[in-house]
Amino acid sequence: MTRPAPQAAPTAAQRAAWPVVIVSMPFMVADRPSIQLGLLQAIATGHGYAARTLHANLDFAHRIGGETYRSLCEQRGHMIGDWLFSVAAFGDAAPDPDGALLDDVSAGLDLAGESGTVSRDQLLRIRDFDVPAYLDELVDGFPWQEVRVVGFSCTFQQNAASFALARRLKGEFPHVVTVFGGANFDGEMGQEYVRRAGCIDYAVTGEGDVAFPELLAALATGADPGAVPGVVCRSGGTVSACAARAPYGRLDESPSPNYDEYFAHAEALGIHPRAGRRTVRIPFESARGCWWGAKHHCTFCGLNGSSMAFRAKSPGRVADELATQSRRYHSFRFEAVDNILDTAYLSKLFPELIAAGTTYDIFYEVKANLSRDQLRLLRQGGVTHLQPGLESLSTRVLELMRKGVRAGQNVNVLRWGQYYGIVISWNILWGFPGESAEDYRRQADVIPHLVHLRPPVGAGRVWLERFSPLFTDPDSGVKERGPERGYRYVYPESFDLDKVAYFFEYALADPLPDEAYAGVRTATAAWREAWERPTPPTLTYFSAPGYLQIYDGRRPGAEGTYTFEGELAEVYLACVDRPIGATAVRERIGRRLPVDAIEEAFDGFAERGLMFRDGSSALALALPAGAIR
Amino acid sequence: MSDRSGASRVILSGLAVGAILGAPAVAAGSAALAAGSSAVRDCSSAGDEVQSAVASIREQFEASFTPGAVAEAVSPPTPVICETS
Repeated sequence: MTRPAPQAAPTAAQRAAWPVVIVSMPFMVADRPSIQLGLLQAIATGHGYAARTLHANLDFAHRIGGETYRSLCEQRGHMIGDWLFSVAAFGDAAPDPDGALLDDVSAGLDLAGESGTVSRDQLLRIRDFDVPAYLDELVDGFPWQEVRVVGFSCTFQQNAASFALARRLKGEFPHVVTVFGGANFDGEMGQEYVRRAGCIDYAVTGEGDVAFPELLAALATGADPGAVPGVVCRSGGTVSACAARAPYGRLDESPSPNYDEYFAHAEALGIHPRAGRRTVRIPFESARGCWWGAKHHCTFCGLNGSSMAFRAKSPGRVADELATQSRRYHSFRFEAVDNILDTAYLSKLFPELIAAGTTYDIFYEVKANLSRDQLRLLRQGGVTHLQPGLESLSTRVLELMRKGVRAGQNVNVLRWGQYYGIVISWNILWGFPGESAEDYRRQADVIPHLVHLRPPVGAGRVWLERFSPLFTDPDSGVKERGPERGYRYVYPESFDLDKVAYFFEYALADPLPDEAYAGVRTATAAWREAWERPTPPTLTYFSAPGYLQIYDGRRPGAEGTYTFEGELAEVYLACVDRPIGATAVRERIGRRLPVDAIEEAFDGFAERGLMFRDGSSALALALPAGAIR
Repeated sequence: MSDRSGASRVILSGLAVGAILGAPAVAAGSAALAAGSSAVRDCSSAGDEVQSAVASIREQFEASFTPGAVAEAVSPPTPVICETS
């Protein structure tokens, strides 16, 4: 139902009576601040409330050790972090006091993560000793009696730890009002949590830019908080949900996030050094939503549940914020939390950063259809790390995903990213309805030709996420699904797991046998190993007019040099910048070869692993030698 | 990816090759009408050209590879000696 928001603005005295603390619990990563906390603190302060943040996740990371903590943060699909806090959150109602999750092999726990291995005994020790001691310290070590509102930001594995603290606070400080929000509370998930978890007073489902200060105003003035758009609460024996407003669009009016407490806290704990130039990536937000997803929602993407509409800050506003935050936090490293880069920044923001002579080090997520020139511009503008969501080296599988790019474009981003010194983080995914074994055999065949480019971080089955088309579309090809196995070890029986789960197990109507992916799995592992060699693989070309040499150093013991002259050299060089078809190559080289001969050349280069064929197009795989240009 | 499934390996007829080589198909047809059998000879010649180009490309590929690692591309600075006398 939609009800009018409270109209009466609180007086200064009313606002002063409602001090706020916004808390980030485990397992939010510890090596950078939470933008959710930083932004909500700044918004609440801007509305006149005494608001502060508490990165309580840092204390837990400090207690169990940074490497162990990081490894647990990486386990988000299997709920191990939530499981560690389940007993503290739900007491006798917790479903797994005996630690059965740790013995459930089908839960798919991989405790040997990139950041190290966490043993079974260590996990039990953390749950049974570290968690209670941590909560005791947290409850005793913060002046909770001085605050009225405790906000919890919950994404991925932050629920159970947040419930555990809220339960303690509600017991020991009854005056405290708890407010929950974050991606874990979007849609029906938020309503079910409010229905089942007694420690939650209010939840904000969707974006909090407007709803959170309106909720504070309602509390301060004695109005009905349940009438605030986007707020869910219990009313009598039922749950009341006031429909959320449209996604917030005035991003230029958003304050810069306040990370003061994070840095002071992290430095006090020794997580970051007190002196010298900071190397922390400062989170910033330049856009929300996804302009591609608003048109063609990628079938597996469950981000932006209720906020897909794309909105962006103006380039000048972004440049100002980077400058402000850099000065304020003594770091030149930034991490955009955007799901996709606003293409307008290519013509405005980055030229402005270049002109200003900034030396930032920026991470962005992008769509993979970037050209060589655009990647060069991004690098010159300070971008050192991109996540382009490549996902596959098969155009056919990319079409099944609705990615809106071809495999040749993906490979080209890997090439020019490497050339310009931009780290490209990516994965290979499988498990899509309609895919064939041939799609993966071809990818396995081509991977040995690409080993001079940065390998994928991982290769595996796609996760089924709430809000994704694979989840919402009854004709998506998913035959059956159920909440990811870990949820049953975290939440009491009273919780409807179909409503609270974000990750789901699934079966396709027409699945491929696991052997179909073995070739890609093996080739990808070899690719990553090749990058760990003392001399990494290379494929480099040297050229003069009508003359081309390609040095192939991709396979130890099989190195060698290809030499091409005349038109064959010209054909190859015509395919260097981007994937291009034979007809276009013919025009490029002055019509001196027939299309059939160019196709023959494409095939000859591809057979030697020197070109990537993508339908009728071909892309040179070697990168130019010499000075970067 | 060596995606060759869509690549035609069929040897094209003389007329089609004429079009591929840049002569519009209509013009090639008109020329055939006007010049009778000589146009057919021209197209055959073009077909030969394609085959010759393809054969030349295959030949280049066969001889293109020289095995062996390439030394690091490090060139020592070359001193410039100035005559002072």
